[in-house]
This record gives sequence, structure tokens and C-alpha cells, in this order.
Amino acid sequence: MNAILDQLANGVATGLVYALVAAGLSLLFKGLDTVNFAHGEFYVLGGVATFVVSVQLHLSPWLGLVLAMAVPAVIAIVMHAVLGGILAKNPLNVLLATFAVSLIVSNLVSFAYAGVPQPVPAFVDGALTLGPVVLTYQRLIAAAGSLVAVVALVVWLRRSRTGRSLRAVADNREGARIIGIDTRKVDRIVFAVSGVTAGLAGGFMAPVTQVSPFAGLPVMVTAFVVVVIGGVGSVVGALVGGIVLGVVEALTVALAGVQWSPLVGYVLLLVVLLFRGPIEQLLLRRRRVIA
Amino acid sequence: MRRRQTVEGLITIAVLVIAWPVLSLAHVPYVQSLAALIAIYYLLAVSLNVIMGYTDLISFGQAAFFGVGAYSAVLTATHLGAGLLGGVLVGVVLSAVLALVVSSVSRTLSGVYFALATMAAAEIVHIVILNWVDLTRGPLGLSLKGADRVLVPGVPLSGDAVFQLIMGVSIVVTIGIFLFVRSDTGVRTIGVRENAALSASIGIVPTRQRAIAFLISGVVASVGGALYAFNYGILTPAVSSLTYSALALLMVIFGGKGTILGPLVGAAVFVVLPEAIGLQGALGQVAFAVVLLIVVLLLPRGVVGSIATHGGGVGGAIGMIRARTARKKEA
Repeated sequence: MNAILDQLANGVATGLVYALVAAGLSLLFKGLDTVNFAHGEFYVLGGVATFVVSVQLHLSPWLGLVLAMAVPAVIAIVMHAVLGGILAKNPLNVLLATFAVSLIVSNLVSFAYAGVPQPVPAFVDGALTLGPVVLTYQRLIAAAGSLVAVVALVVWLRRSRTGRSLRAVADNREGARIIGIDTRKVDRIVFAVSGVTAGLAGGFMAPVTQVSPFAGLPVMVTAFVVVVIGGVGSVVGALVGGIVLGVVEALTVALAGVQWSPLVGYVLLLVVLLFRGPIEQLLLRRRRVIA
Repeated sequence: MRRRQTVEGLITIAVLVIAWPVLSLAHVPYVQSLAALIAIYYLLAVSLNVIMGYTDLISFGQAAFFGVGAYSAVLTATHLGAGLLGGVLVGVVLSAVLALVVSSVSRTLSGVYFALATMAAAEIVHIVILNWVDLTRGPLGLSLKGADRVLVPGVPLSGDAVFQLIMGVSIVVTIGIFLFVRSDTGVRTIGVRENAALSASIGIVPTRQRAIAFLISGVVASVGGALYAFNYGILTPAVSSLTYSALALLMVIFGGKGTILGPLVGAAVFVVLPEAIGLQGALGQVAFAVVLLIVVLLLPRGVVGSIATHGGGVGGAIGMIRARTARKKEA
């Protein structure tokens, strides 16, 4: 029982990070109707930025987090500039092109660090012990930071002018253009935001998981699962989906063994796809409007 | 459309038929090993193309069938001593069942959701292969003992014989798919791709056409996997991983989906290009990805698709540039 409580707490903590990675992917998916295969690489780059700042430059890891958001955002904007032209015409090719970007990034990172995962020291050492539950401070920081970031994203989407135009474009691209919204600029912002979310999550998790060059693909797949569970385009849904996936994975680790935990996401994904209609009606009655 | 298919189909078959004896007689082991890998990747790509090209659904899980075929072949050969033929049969049956299950589960899905469902199903297969250590030895993988390397019990298979089989099977599969595309079922399937509602109105059942395509696709990929296993004699769970599914996807999109020659071009490029670039390891992958990116941006319809639209050679290139500038002017 104690082990299960511990796993539950850690599952929620991991789930919040999943939610942050998935939030960006979800916005991109809904807004541009495309899949960014390099989304996981943003997460890896966030980790690399944190590693460079805190280990190689001996600066504060918190400064690393700023870089962890900035670097993927810039790359995302460049990707949009290059791929924007083929986006509308051929979504399949966007898939292929972003896959190429993911190969380039992950292999360059692998080359830079000779393929070896790089450990990053925790921002704050130690752990919080609450009865049977042990949470390292780093995990707490990652979970709390992710939660704050996701909530901030939701508030931004709902309250700010840019956030609203972003939702407008996702809801009806043509309509948004008619009322004078610069859809290309909005697309660029969506790309940048997706980079920021994944990069930040990567920065938070760098001390927990080390920075490994090829972590991108599994991270992206996990984010996908969360997006589908939570509903495409819904950041709040991503939050729910992330926590559900984190908790169910953690319980699977406690009850069946760690090797079966990757199975959970895929089974959940299939179940959600099968019963997509009913679940949507139940949970997301207003899901045409994102956020 | 039909004429283009004929030309392409004949070119593909001709390439394979000419390459086969030339490679066998020249007998340069390095070239032969590359050719074998191209043919195996071709089987994987062409199997995905049945789904992607003729139903417009994207499968992210083609490696599941490839992996099931490969593992069935080695396990059947090792434990039952039934050789490649027995292994292929077992693999085909298992893959057919898997294809029917996946296509019935996902029959209401389309677009990205179908892709995700196939990915989930494939990853489940992958994780089971990875974790069923008693049967598959997990991450260690399997190896095929020399004594089990037989076609049927009593008929040993040399490395060269496996090469002959791979070439022979790719030709047979190409002819089979060529005939499928031109058959009534094939035409109905393409009809569903073009307009599902209209097809349904004249009595075609879209879900049935999709199931048939998925079944063919799974069986072909499974045979490819079995040949892969016998060609290399060793096997790791990686054959059922997302990496191979992605590879299949890339080969098809690169070559041109819905074309018969496209998957062969895709397979050849994806085998030869990394070798030709000569860079090993991470930087080789980077160079490969850069070339891929450039081709995607310049030839959005795939290599064969772009040539088929604009014609080959200098005239085609000029036509393509003209079309491009015309499009730019419009926009």
C-alpha cells in the first residue's frame, strides 16, 4: 500500500510534466492540423540548454531554464519559416520534413556528446518525505513548474488578445483571416509556444532523467497519447490526460513491473480512440474552442 | 491513370527481373547484400503503399507486421524445425489475424486517428515482443542456428539461395500488387479512396475495402520480415519498433505514394544514400536527413510522383519549374 501511495504521488508529478509537453503539441495539432515529429527534440534541446548552462558554464540552472525555452522557440520559428509554404498544400510532407529535422537535431546532440547521456545536478538537492511518499525536490520543482506553465498558458489563451486570435484561427482559419487576423503570424506563435512548452519540460526533467540524445521520440509519442486522451486542442484536456497517464503508468509499475509501463499509454490511446465519441460528449462539451 | 500504372508496373518488374540475374552472376557480395536489403525494404514499403496509396490511410505501425513475420519465421524454424516456408506460413496467419483485428477496431477512424491507432497497436506488439523474454529472449534478440536455416525440413538454404528467394518474392509481390490495382477489388478500393460516400452509394462497402487492403498490406510486410530474419540470421525487437514503421513511411512518401515504382525508388535511396554519403554514425544520419529535407521541399509529390506528373529528364524539370513559378504567381 505504501509503495502504491509513493508511486501515485510520483505518477501525478510525472503526469504534470507530460501535460506541459503535450499542451504545445496539442495547440499545434489543432491550430495547424499537422504533426510535428520534432516536438520531442524540443524537449531534448531544453535538457541540453540546461546542461550547457549549469554543467559546462557553471551558471545557475534557473538561467538554463530560460535558455531551455528560448532555443527550441527559435528553432520552431525557423521551422515554420521554412515549412510554412508546404504546410497548407501537403501535411504528409510536413510529417516527413519534421522527421528530418528530428533526425538532424537528435544526431547532432548525439555527436556533440559522443552518444552518452549527460547527467545534470538537481536544481535543489534533497527530497520531501511525507509518510510513505518520497518526492525529490527536483521532481517537485518539475511538477509545480509544469503546472504553473500550463495554467499560465490557459490564462494567456483565454485572456490575451494574441491568445484569442490563436483560438480564433484554430476554430476557423478562413473566418479569422476575414476579420483581419494575420494567420501566418499566429501560426508562427503557435510553433514558438510549442517549442517553449517542450523545452521547458526538458529543462525541468534534465536532472531527473539525464539528457539523452534520442529521448525525443518516446517523449513525442507520450505527448501524442496525452493529446488524444485529453482531446486535441485542449490544454486543460492535456492536463487531465497527462495526470491520468502518469498515474496509470505509476500504478502499473507498482503492480505489474516497470517493463509493462510503456504499454499503458498505448492501451489507453486505443481505448480512447474507440470510445472517443462518448468520452468527448461527457467531458468536453465545448471542445470546438481551444484552451 | 491506367496507362501510367501499366508503364510504372512494367518498369518496376523490369528493373527487378534484370537486376536479379545480373546480381546473381556478377556475385559481388557487398553489392548483393545491399540489393537484398533494398528488396526487403521494398517489400516493407510496398506493403505500406497498399494502405497509403490506395486507401489514403496512413499506417504508423507497419513494423508490427514486419516484426511478427520475422519473429514467427525464426521461432517456427527453431522450435518446430519447419524452416522458412513453415515460418512464413505461421507469420502470414498471425499477421492476417492482427490486420483483421486492427482494421475492425479502427474501422470508424480516419486521418491522424487511424495513424495513431495503428501506432498504438504496433507499439503494443513491440512491447510484448520485448517483454515476453521466455519466448523471444527480449532485448537480446534471437539468432538462427545453421541447422534450422532450411527452406523445408531437409532442404538447406545457403546465403545465396536466400538472396534468390528475396529477389523472386519481390517480383512475385510486385506482379501481385500490379494485378490487385487493376482487379475489380483494387478499382473498388481506389474508388473508396476517391470518394467513400459515392462508392457506398453504388454498393461498395468502404470498411470492407479498407480491411482487404490492410490484410494484403500486413501479409506482404510479414513475408518481408521473414526474409529479413533468414537473410541476416539474427533478430532484435528493433524490427517491430517505430523506427521501422517510420522508415516504411518515409520510403513511401519519398518515392511517391500510390505509385508502383515509388516504393522501390524509396527503398533503393534509403539503402544506398547512407552508404554513398560514406559518413558513419551520427553525422551520416544528419547528412541523410538534410538530403531528405531538401527533396521534400523541392519534390513535394515524391520522386516518382513528381516525374509522373511532369515527365522525366530536362523537359520534366523545366515543366516542374514552370508549374512552380505559375503557382507562386497565383499566390
